[in-house]
Order: sequence, then structure tokens, then C-alpha cells
Amino acid sequence: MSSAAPRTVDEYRQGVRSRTFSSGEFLEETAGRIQQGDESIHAYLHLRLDAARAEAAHAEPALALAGAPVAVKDNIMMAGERCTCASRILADYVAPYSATAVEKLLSAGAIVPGKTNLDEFAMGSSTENSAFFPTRNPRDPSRVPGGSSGGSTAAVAAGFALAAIGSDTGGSVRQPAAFCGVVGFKPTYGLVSRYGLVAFASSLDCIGPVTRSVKDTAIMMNILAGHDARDATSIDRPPLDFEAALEPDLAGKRIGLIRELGGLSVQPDIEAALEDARRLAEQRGATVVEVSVPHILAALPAYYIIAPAECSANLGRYDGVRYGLRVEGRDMTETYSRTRNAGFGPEVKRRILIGTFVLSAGYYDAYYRKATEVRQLISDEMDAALAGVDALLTPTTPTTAFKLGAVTDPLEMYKADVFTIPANLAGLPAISIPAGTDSQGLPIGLQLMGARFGDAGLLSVANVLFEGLGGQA
Amino acid sequence: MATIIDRQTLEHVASLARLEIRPDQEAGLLTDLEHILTYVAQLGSVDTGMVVSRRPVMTALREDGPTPGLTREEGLGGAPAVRDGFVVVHNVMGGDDE
Repeated sequence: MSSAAPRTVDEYRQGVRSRTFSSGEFLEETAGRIQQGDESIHAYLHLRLDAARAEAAHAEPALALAGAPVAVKDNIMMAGERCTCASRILADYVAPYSATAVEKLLSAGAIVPGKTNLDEFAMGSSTENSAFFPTRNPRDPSRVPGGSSGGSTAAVAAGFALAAIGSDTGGSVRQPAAFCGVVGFKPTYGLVSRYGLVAFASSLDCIGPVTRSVKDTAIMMNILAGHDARDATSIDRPPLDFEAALEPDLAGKRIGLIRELGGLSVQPDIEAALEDARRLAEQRGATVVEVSVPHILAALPAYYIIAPAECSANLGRYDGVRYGLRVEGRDMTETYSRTRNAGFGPEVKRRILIGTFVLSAGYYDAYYRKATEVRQLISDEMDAALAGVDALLTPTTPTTAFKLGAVTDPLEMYKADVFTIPANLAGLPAISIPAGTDSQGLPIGLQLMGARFGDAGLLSVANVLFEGLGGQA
Repeated sequence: MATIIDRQTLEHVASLARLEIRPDQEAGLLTDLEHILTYVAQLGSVDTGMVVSRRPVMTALREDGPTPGLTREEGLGGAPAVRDGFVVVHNVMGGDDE
């Protein structure tokens, strides 16, 4: 292979189409990197390299992905492969069907080297909640890659895949993308089918791409987006060409900074990166203005009522009856409890308990109903703020990647999601782009949020800043 | 100040969720849950009197007709115990298991 190895899907497919190298050669190179490096990173939960090699041998260069290796988070089903959700309760479960998103990627010529690690059932911000092992940050293996899609972002950052898909319920694609120095996108809710994504919080979950460039995000979105009759919340809208929508500058664009986030404690290097991005935006033709989302700080508590509530309902199906782990009791009630106690880790149990509590009689109105009203309030305020700007700019996270084991208080871990959660509550598109590193060399991510269904415009703005801040990860 | 969640409530909630709490886990869980619930309870002070829900009352559903799906074999493929095409469980009607 030539020394100018492709680092993006775009470069890769140009190389394959111009016969500089073959998809088989590239897959072999990728497999070599995985076999050498993943022992210390643990991005993958399980691999399918032999199958991948066979598929790469007949990959079709004319297809959009042309045989590119794309990793899939292990809460997204791929027929015939295990789908563990990083949980003991599904440790041996094999998916009987593929998610729509996976079917689309495969039809576009993607080759899946394996399924990536995550926090159990997508609950967490560090991938330390995986029942099997934590994933390490390729930029500093003593630190977390973020979560819950830490395996997917680590895989892309380490070159174990050219792209990946993950799921984002409270920031789980964007936050680990920021920690690992790659691009992570959460589309508008409903734009990408959730069919085949193991449900955590059904009104919040989104499948999103992890890539090394925003152009690659656009390539992935051209494949992933679209109405799906098998997902009742899937939106039916005219298709967009996300690649064609990328514009070269920000002339006439307005970017908003949210006043009420200004008081939050953020690592100084991240603040500085935000300032750099602001200046860059202005250089590229944008006007940067202050906007108000008065109740944005209520987003975190609202999320930590709604998400656990929905999770407690969605995880009720893991009862040892039809699939997954079964631990026998003397009767069915005992079988359910023994199975669930043995199968779920501590964070999952905590969230199920919180969710059950806030939905229970006597607490439902004060907690769950109230949280849904606050959610609507914040969503309306975000819509109002976005009516006057093309994108909102924030840090993705308050800090860069922390050390494994450093955050043990669950509430402290939750508060790391303060910037990412509002987009999930409101169903808005949001992207994290790499914006340099801190004084210790750890990646910094900045977030842009856009109006509902304004995904193409958002990617265009993000691409200008991404290129201006250094380009591909 | 009264706690939001006491041991009795925790046991009740755990029973609803079909999760048993081991005695050695109880204190730690109560502390964690108390912190989290205290934190989220701050929403009580947000005035939402004027909020109008924009969510549809019901998710749009498709027509109730058969469409292709998993075969019985595929659907039961992950079941821990199967007999004659049925999933085997303990007797729930009273009486012994077969």
C-alpha cells in the first residue's frame, strides 16, 4: 500500500476507484492494526475479521462506501452477529435481524470488522459501565474514550475502522467523539431509523455516525437518513443530499452563543478553543451573537427523569423468558428477579430504579409529568433561539477525557452531559467537531446545534469550522 | 429534612421493577438514589404553567395487517428453553411444572 494511506472514507473510495489499492488490501491493513492495537484499546467487543476479509474481496467500488470498514456499536443489531449491549443479560444473544441503519450501510458497500464496546445498554459517559471491560482512549490509554459509544469513537480514532455508527441518547456519540478527537453527529430525531437499535429511551435515542471528517459525516448521512416504515417515529421527508449541501464559507450565517451556559465551569483550554472557533467563524463571514435559552440548565434534571423512566419501561423485556440470560427461580417472579439481578450492572439497576420511582403512583405528576413539561419548555426556547441563527455553538464537554476510575459519583458523571443533553430533549441535530488539544495533548470537541431538520445546513456550517480548525482528525 | 426515598419505598420500587436489593447494597443505593432524586427534584421550581405540549397524542401507527416478520425458528432462536415450538416457563396458573 502507498504511504499516503487514506484516513477518511472519501480518500479511501477515491483510492479504491482509481485502483491505487484494493478494498481487500485496505481491509487487511485495518485488520492488522486491529490485531496489533486493540489488545490495549479494547474498542471491539467481538470481531468478524474472516467474514470481513471475504466480503472485502468482492466489494464493489462504485458503491458509496466501496468496501470501507465501518464499525457498529454493539446495541445495534447485525443479523447473525452477537448483540450484547455490553450486558451479561445479552452476553450470548445473536441478532436474528439487522437494523435498518446496518442494512443501509451494507447495501452501500460497508464492511463491518466487528461490534464495538459501549456502556451497558448505552447508559454512561465513559464506557466503564461495559459488563465486559472498559475501552481506553487511543490518545491516552490511561483515560476513558467517553461513552456510551466509546468503542466506536476509539475504533475510528485508532484507525480500526474508517467510520462507525453509535447511538446518542444524551450525548453518547458526541461526547466520546470529543474525548477521542473525531467527529460525532446526532441527527434530528426521526431522520435515521431506530429499527434494530436496542431501545434505551425511545423518545431520545438516535443513531449517528462517527467519522474523521465532516464531509464523511455527510457521506454517511446520505446513506443512513430516510423514512422507514418499520420505525413508527421515523420521519417521512424529501431526501437531502448532505454532501451537495456543504458550502465553502459562512457568508451571511449567524452563530449563537447561549448566554445561560456562560456561568458553567469549563476547562480553560476548552474555553480558549471556543474563542478560537468564534473568531474563525467571524473570519469566514459569520456574525456571532448571544442568544437566550432561559431554562437550558433544567435540561439535565429533566433528562435524568425522562431517560430513566423510558429505560425502566424498555428494559422490562429482559426477564429471562424469550431471549438472553435466564437464572431460574422457584416461580416466574423469582426467575425474573434472579435473571435481572444477575444480568444487569449497577448503573443500569440505578436507572431502572429511578425510572420506576418517577413513574410510580404518587410520584408520577411531580417528577415525570413535570419533566415532560420542562422538556417542552426547553424545546420551545431552543426553537425560538434557533429561529434567529443558523447554529448554536457550545463546548461539547466541560472537560477533556478523564482518567479511568476517576469519576465514581454517578451524579458527577451525569453532569458531564450538560452541553449535549438539550439537543436530545428537543430532538435537534447536533455535532461535535475536533478543535485542537489541551495542554496535555487531549482532544477538545466543540458542539454545533441546528434547527430541527436543518441537518444539512448544520453540517455545512460545521464543515467550514472543522476545516478551519485543522481539518481531518 | 425528610428524605425522598426511604428503605420501604426502595423495596417497593425494586419489587415493581423485578429487581431484588441485596442487604449489603441497600445503604449505598439509598444514598445514590437520594442524591439523584434530590438533584432532579429542582424541576419543581420551574414554572411550566404556560407550556403546551406539541407531542402527538398518539404515535402514528400503520394499518393493522400482517407483514413479513421473523419465522418462528428465528424468533425462538434465543430462547433459553424451548419445547415443541413453545418457550418453556414455570407454571403460572397454579400447580406443578410439567
